[in-house]
Amino acid sequence: MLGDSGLPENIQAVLCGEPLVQVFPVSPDDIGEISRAGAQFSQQGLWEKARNVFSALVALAPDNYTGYAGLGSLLLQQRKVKEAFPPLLKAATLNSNDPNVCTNLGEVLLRVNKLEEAKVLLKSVADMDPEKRHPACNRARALLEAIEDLDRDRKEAPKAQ
Amino acid sequence: MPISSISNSGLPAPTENTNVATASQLGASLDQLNAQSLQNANSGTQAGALASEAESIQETEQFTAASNQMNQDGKNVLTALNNSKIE
Repeated sequence: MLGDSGLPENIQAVLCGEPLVQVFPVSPDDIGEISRAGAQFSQQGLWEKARNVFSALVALAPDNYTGYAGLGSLLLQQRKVKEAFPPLLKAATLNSNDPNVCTNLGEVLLRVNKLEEAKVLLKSVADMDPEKRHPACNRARALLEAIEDLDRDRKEAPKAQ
Repeated sequence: MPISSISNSGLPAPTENTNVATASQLGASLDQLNAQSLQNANSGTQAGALASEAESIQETEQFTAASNQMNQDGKNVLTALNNSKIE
């Protein structure tokens, strides 16, 4: 339906400052479809398009973790580690039970040398899957082993001198 | 493949990290391992790599629905991180 300005009412509402989330309510199916579009752009190496899609998803569904998760994962893939931290932390805070998100956050912590936090978080992810079936939980285990190797090397280094 | 795992879908081989000496070197090793893991995923060696995206998403949903929840230690780290800054 057209508004007074001749624009569709929802567009006019946005232009007048109504929050996007109220004007364009998105369903869980919508969120899934938008996420898949972002993932496909990412897999094709179309980083800017993927980033725009995930950013738009965050704007449309700010209380859903999916947009933040996609954005953080994309930034980590581009090795923009510090930029990846806020969206991944937000995603993990909104849904701490997604092992993919929490393992990605653990990798960020590892890369910025927050090893103690990385260890606790990654162990929590590993503990989520005692049967060792989920790939993200297994990746968390592998990252934990890498940290333990790093710790061991650091402890042994003074002895070698 | 779950959306949130698009960049890091693979499983690094832990034995390849045995000689890392610094966090930055570890980061470089992780880059190599991720690349290798993606190759493994493409060749079908990673669990779930052959499943359709829809099936993988469903697996993740079933996983999280089956009481596989983060423990309190992990939640405490998230709380602490929300109260700190990454320098």
